[in-house]
Parts: sequence; structure tokens; C-alpha cells
Amino acid sequence: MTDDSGRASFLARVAAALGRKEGEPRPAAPIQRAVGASTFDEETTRDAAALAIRFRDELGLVSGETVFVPDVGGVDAEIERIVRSRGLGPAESDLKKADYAVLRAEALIADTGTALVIERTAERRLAPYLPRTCIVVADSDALFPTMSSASLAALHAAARRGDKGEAVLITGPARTADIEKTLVLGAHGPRHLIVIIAGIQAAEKDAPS
Amino acid sequence: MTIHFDRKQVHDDLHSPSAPAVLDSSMRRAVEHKHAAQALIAWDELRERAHEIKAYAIEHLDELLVRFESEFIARGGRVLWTQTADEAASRFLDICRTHGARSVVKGKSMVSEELELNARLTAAGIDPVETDLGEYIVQLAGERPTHIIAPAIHMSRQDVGSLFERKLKVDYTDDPEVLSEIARVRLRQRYLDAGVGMTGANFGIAETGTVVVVENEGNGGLSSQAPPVQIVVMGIEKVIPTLDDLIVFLQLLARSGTGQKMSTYVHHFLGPVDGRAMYCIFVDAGRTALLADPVARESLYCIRCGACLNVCPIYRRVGGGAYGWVYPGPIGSVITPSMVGVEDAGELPFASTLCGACAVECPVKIDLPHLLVHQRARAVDEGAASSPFENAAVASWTRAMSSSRGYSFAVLAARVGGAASSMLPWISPAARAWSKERSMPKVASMTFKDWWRER
Repeated sequence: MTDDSGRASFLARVAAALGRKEGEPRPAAPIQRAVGASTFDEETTRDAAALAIRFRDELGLVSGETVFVPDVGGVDAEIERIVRSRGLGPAESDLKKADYAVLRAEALIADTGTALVIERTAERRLAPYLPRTCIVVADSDALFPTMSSASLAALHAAARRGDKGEAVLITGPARTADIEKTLVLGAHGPRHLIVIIAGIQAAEKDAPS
Repeated sequence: MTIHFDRKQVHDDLHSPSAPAVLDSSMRRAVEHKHAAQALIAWDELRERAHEIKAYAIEHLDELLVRFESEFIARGGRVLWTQTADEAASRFLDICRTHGARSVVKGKSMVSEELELNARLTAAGIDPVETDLGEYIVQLAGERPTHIIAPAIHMSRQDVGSLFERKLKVDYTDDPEVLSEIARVRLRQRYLDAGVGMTGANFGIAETGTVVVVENEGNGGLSSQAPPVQIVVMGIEKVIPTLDDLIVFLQLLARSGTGQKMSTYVHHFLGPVDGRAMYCIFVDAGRTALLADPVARESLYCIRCGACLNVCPIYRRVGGGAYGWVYPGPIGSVITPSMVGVEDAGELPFASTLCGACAVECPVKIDLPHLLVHQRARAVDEGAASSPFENAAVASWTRAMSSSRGYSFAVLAARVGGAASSMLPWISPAARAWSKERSMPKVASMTFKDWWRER
């Protein structure tokens, strides 16, 4: 609901400042779409393996890690391996105590190494932020070359459906440079971010990008 | 409130051995990062597009606010419209009281500085907790942020180390990594205990009614999501038409602000889950005064990236403290006089060399030098930026330049006066202050005409 006190006078003030008279028709929206913002060649954008490698390289530049597994069936084993090799504690339902959280990405953007995560429940809303290690899982189908209407389709859909919660674009582990512009990883969020992409064959891992 | 370009602060900063050096090297690094990140994309095309979108959004501001409001309400939120900073702060307090909040965790927000929200909350017995590392440092020090996106840029790591040692009773360290960890540990429980979480807004998207907050530390996510009540305080110029428009700004904002290709977190608040509450407070606080001025209106396109500060030769030397209010640098000098009144801040636009570096850097192509000159003219017209001495000086200059006899006399007077100017400091305290940082130009011993004749 809206609190009406002040609203009408507020809007009248804005209209007056714009030099509008009441009832006067407004100019129509001349909005056109999309501006080129990437250096991708067409070839790369059609090849999931090439996109996966580009994603890995870009995420690497901001201190995030990417792991490929051949199919969805391999994801759990990969999480096990990560947890064991890093000495992380067991999976915890209490995020305050958990060493890590597993998030599901609805899109991956190769150009910037960005994952789109949508958390729709109260229990899960702090999962991206509280634990020190953040593991993001996605299928290779979720890979897109750039940030665009297409790569943000899941966000559009969530907004249209009236989903609750938060959608967040995550690019690397949390960081700060507030002291003398010196980069420090971790800050208030995760220190480690690992993205597992399912559906990339081992042989494709080292294909030239 | 009168806002002067703080001369004492300028003097102290210029003569302090470390501060300007820290600032200048930080700024240089920021600019280098930025240029590296920009090299990869169609920078000018994007800036052009961003400018067009903002121009459209500002021209349709009333429509877009109404659209945003209805979508935000449909998501389960409530919208409050506030005319002044004072009113916005009062409404914020009302919400805190309604929900019985004892403390508020805050994401980084410049609007909250306009509201002087921390002071207002404290006076009401509610504990404000800044969570952005830079803001946390500045709050501990009892200071004000001196840069739009790097609030503690004026402090060295040693300054922060001794501040933490003094205020938090920890062992001294000047290692940024350890200092950051100390802040993390201190704040963890505060997020979970707070009754209200507050953030600003980088963008409000009219078509979806979603608020977008961009940050790097994760504190924005925790501040907005952990407490049961979320309040967004949003300047009305933040509204943009569509989600697709956002893509353009996301390419620009991080590159201009921090030199990143993309900020670590871009939050979209979809709506409150399970009995939580979400509010948005629209803040005018002088923005309609900017809107009503067809020239200064362009300053409402600003996305608060801080790039104009980083390249400004004045800002780089004196830092943000000298500007006296919330927004420093070229953009601050343009908007402050309209937001708080020319009579109180008309002096600020004169703190510029008009070199134009800010206009080159601005990611939304705001013509800042033009706006600075515009605000200077307003200040002069409204009598807020000239002194009787200055008027008299300009009047005699005009007289001297209007006739050859006047000019000859002026040259003679200058030759005598130039020699006498070394005595200025003894004339009055004002003259002493003026001459302390300046030297009078030496007048040549022979005029060009004399020299030509005797040649």
C-alpha cells in the first residue's frame, strides 16, 4: 500500500519542475534496445566449450575458480572432492556454522565470469553471503556470451512472475579495496568462489579459446 | 547551514606530509584500472546510450516513479514519498519504531549522509551500524566520507591501524587484510541481530519495481537480506525504465568506479519473503530544484561512480573534506548549490580549474564544466559569490582597460603597487591570509611601447 500524504504534492512538484501542465500528453518512449558491449566473435558464442573456457578465464581474473564435469551426475562427486581436499566441515543446514554453501546458477555470463543466482526462500536468503566458501553449480546450457536480455531471461521471468527473495549477479569472491585501494578478498562475504559447470567433456577443457 | 570551500582544511591538507600523497596515488591507480577495463568495449557508444536513457528517464520522472511504485507495491513493498531530508529521516525512524528495531545495519549509501541518518538514529536510541568497510572506518573515526565510492580514501593504512587499536581495543596492525578481517568478525553478529537493514539504491527499475544495489564486499547482501525489515532509501533520480537499460549502466558503473569489468554483487530485490517487510523511501531533498533548472537538470543523470573526483586536479590535491557537504568533487560542486541553496553553497563551483577532465571521464557524458560555469553564473547573479572588494577590483580593471590613458596609468600604478605588495601582509589579516599562498606577478620595468620606441 501507499501512504498518500505527500504523494500528490510530490508528484505535482516533479511535474511542475519538468514544466508540465496537468492533463498534458507526455512524449512517447523513444527507447531502443541493446548496445554492443563485448569483443566476442560469432564463432565463440555458439560453442558451449569455448564459452566455458572464456568463463573460466574471466572468473580466474577476479580470483574465482571454475571446474568442468562431463555431466550432471558428476556434480555431487565434485563437491565431495572440493570439500575433502579443502578440509571443509560437513554440510550444515545452519548457514551461520557452515563452511560452505552450494548455490544453483540460472545463467552464467562468459564475458565477465558472472553467475546469476536467485534465492526465493527465507532459509536460503543468506546462502550466498555467510559461508567462507561458495560453490555455484550450473549446467553448460546456462552459458551465455554476454550480459543481455537473453542471459538475464531468468531474472526477467522471476520479476514478471512476482517471485519473492533476491536475484544476485555474482562475479568472483567478495572483496574490498577500502584501505589505500589495496585489494583484500573475502571482506564480508565468501573468500572462495568455485563454479562447477556440468556438461563440458574433459577433452574440451583444453580446447583453444 | 553555510557551506564554504573549507580553506583551513585545504591548507592543512596541502601541508600535511602524507595525506595528499596517499590520495593522489590512490586516484592515479583508480584511473589506470579504469582505462584498462574500458579498453575492451565500445566505451563511447555505451556512454552515449547511457546519456540518452538518463535523459529520457529524467524527462519522464513523474511517470516512471508512479510505475515503479505500483510494481514495488505488487512485489509486497511499501513506498513513502518524502520532500525533505528531515522528513525522510523521520519516516525512517517511524518504520524502525513500528517494528521495534534497536539497531540498523546499513549498506553504503550517500543519500543516508544527506539525511544525517546516523545522528538521527542515535538520538532516537537506535544504533546505526555502517557495514561497508570504508564507511565503518569513517563511522569509527566520527568523520564523514570523503569520496563517493571510497569513503576512507583520505586515511592511510597506519591511520586505520591506530584507529582500530584505539576504538576496538585490538593489537595494532596496518595490514589491510587483517584490518578487513577484524571488521568482518565484529560485524557478523550485528547483521543477524539488527531489526532493520538499510541500503541505498543504484537503480530503481520502473518496469519491474525492483531495486538494484551494486557492491563488492557482500555487506549489501547481508544488510538487505539478514534483518526482518528492509528499507531502501532512494533519491528519485535513480529510476530507470527497463531491465535492459540496466545492462548498459552495469557495463559503465564498475569500470568507471573501481576499474572492474563487473562489480562482485549486483543485487535485485524481488520482494519480501515469509513475513518480512520491505520499504522504499523516495527522497526529493532538493532534487526537484535541480530538475526545475533546465541546464542543471543534466546533473541528475549522475550514477555516483566517483570518476570525476578521481581525475579532478582540485579534488586530488585537497580531498573530499574540503567541499563541506556530502558530495565532493566536480559533481558535488554542481549539485550542492541547488540542493542546499545558492546562498549557502554558491562558492563551490568556483573550486574548479574548468580543465574538463571530468567531462571526458563521466560515463553518462554529463557536461560538468558547462554545469560548473552555469552554477557560477547563478551564484554571481544571486549575489552569493562576489565581494565588494572583488566588484571594485573588476570595475577598476574595466576602467583601466577601456582607454589608453587609463591603461598607462594602471601600468604605472602596478609598478608602484607591485613593489608595495610585499607590504600586503601588514595591512590586514585578510590580506595576510590572501598573500600567504600567493605571490604578486612582477611588472616589467619597461613597457613594450617604451621598448619599441628606444629600440
